[in-house]
Amino acid sequence: MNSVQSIFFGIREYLSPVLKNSKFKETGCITPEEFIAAGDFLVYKCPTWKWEGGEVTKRRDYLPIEKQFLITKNVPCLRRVKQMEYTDEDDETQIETENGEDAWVATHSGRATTNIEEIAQIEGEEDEISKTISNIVLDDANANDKEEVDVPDINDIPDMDDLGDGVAEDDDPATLADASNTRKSAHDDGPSDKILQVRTYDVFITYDKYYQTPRMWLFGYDEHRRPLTSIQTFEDISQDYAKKTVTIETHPHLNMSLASIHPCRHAQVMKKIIEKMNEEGIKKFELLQQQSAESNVEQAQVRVDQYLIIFLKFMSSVVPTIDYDHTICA
Amino acid sequence: MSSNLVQFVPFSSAVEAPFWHTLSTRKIDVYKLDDTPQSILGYYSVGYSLRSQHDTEANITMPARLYLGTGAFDTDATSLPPFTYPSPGAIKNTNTIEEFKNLDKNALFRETAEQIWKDIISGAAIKDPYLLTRFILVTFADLKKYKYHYWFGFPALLTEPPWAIVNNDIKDIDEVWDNTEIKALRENYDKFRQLQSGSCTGFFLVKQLSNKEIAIGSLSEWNSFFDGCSDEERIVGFADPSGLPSNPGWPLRNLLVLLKRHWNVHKIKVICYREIPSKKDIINSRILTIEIPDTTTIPDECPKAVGWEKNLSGKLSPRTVDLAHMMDPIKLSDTSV
Repeated sequence: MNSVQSIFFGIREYLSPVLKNSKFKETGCITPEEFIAAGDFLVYKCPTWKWEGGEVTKRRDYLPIEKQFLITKNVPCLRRVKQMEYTDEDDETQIETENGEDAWVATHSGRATTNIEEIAQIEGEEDEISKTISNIVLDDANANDKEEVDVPDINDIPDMDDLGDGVAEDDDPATLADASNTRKSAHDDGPSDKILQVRTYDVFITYDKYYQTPRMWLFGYDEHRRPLTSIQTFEDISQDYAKKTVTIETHPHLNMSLASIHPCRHAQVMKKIIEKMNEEGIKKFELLQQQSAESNVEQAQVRVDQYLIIFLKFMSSVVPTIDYDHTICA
Repeated sequence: MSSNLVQFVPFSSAVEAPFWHTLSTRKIDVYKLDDTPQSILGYYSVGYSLRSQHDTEANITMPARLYLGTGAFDTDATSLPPFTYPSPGAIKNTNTIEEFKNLDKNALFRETAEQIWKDIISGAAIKDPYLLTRFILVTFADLKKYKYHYWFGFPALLTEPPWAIVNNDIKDIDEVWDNTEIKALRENYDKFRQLQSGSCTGFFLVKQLSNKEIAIGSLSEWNSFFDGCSDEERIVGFADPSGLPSNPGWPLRNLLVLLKRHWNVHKIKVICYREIPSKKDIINSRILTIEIPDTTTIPDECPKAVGWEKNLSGKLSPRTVDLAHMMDPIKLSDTSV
């Protein structure tokens, strides 16, 4: 089933022409060249992202050899979507921490975030989040119980009983024995620090030639660094999307299957966000013009190399608990 | 007294799933029945804490992880993720579960520790300090069931008596230095990282200059860099995979042995360099002074070493990962596109 689909997608991608002329403001789509420019800008602004070449046999010839896709690794994901409190106040605080040199993003990021939700509703995606999300906060006791259930008993596995034989180590007083113990720092009375095993994700962005948009892929590990199953991954995706637009497919540049947010709606949503941001930008530009004559209207408009930063903000409404870097800092 | 001892945070292994896929392919296509140890390259990043949003909760610290990625077999440090540090290792993949069971793991661990010791004595670890983080990985790949049994060893050479924290005093970097100095440290270390090869960037020398400048040097510059400095003015820094406030990470242990062996250092100020790369924030970094009695000598033979990773139940035993649920689709995908 999966393989038939993949063949079909492969052929469809092969047949669709490579987008040459920039239409990102009109359609929300970008060309491979624009994808590269936006990727370079992302890597420059958020250096935890990196370009990769991927499998040699899977290279796309419309992308440079070393810039086939973007990746950021080991992104912490503290809690499941259903545990997240989802309020407008949260969005506000988030915005305040993003004040950077590029004032336009700082000013509009909040509105963009809100817009995405509005747009999601316009698009007919019913916003179930507020209904389904109860105000569960991370409960340590429960988490621990769950972890114990998750740990496979090594003794249950035949052949494993005596694998540790022959290896012995003296107790070493200079080794921190159990790092998961809560430990007070030596000098202050603040909250104690502890090592918490959390889920982590490797996040990929590829260029989807058929939809002419970026596409996000997720590969997750559980608290004990075991790969997540697709069902577990769905726990970290906003319920609206998990049911409709997330699929498990083969990575276009690697030999692995992983969850991907399907890009069929990306262009539409991106177009709306960019339009909103441009409107806000012009309003702000007019305001600035009254104060000083030094700004020009071009600066108030979204540039195509900022596309991926905006895209990642959009995606963070789909995977709100995966804390990848998309902030523009000084 | 024992509360003064430095307690180091051991590495927690973190193997990326594609690594196992690559191991399977190489086992079938390249190694076949050859089970001699192969060089691999792991990596680690610095530790950090996530501030709790609720006052009642503890701050959350990520474990000190040592990662093995897809590129581990290429042993090419330039392919590692940004803001990470290479760690050289060897993988011994046995052909059967019995061989895995009966393998003289102590001997392998000992060999690895002795290699670290040799690199310290010869000075190779001064030129390429990442040799201090050498590790060993023993595996058995059950290719039919997509099951992998594995065990990491991260040898740390022991000093007798162990290192102690002077005055039991570990401070946040901003308790010791002001913002100008912290910024100078961050910027100059950034430059250092860009100029040096990956094998050097995890360990470095620091000194305060007049006018709040901070200079960064490589271990190989020790004599010229600290020329004219008093013992108190000498600072070593290391990229610290630990994020815990009172506990430096594992890589510091072998560095201290090297410092003692080559420059007879028995008391030194240490910067545990920790950063949040996306925020250009090194506020989690810690400063401490550690010492051993100045009568301590390090013998000519390789000291004892510890560092087998414990399993999830805290026992000295291997771990197992079952990838059946994802390896089958991988096979499918290979033939489909």
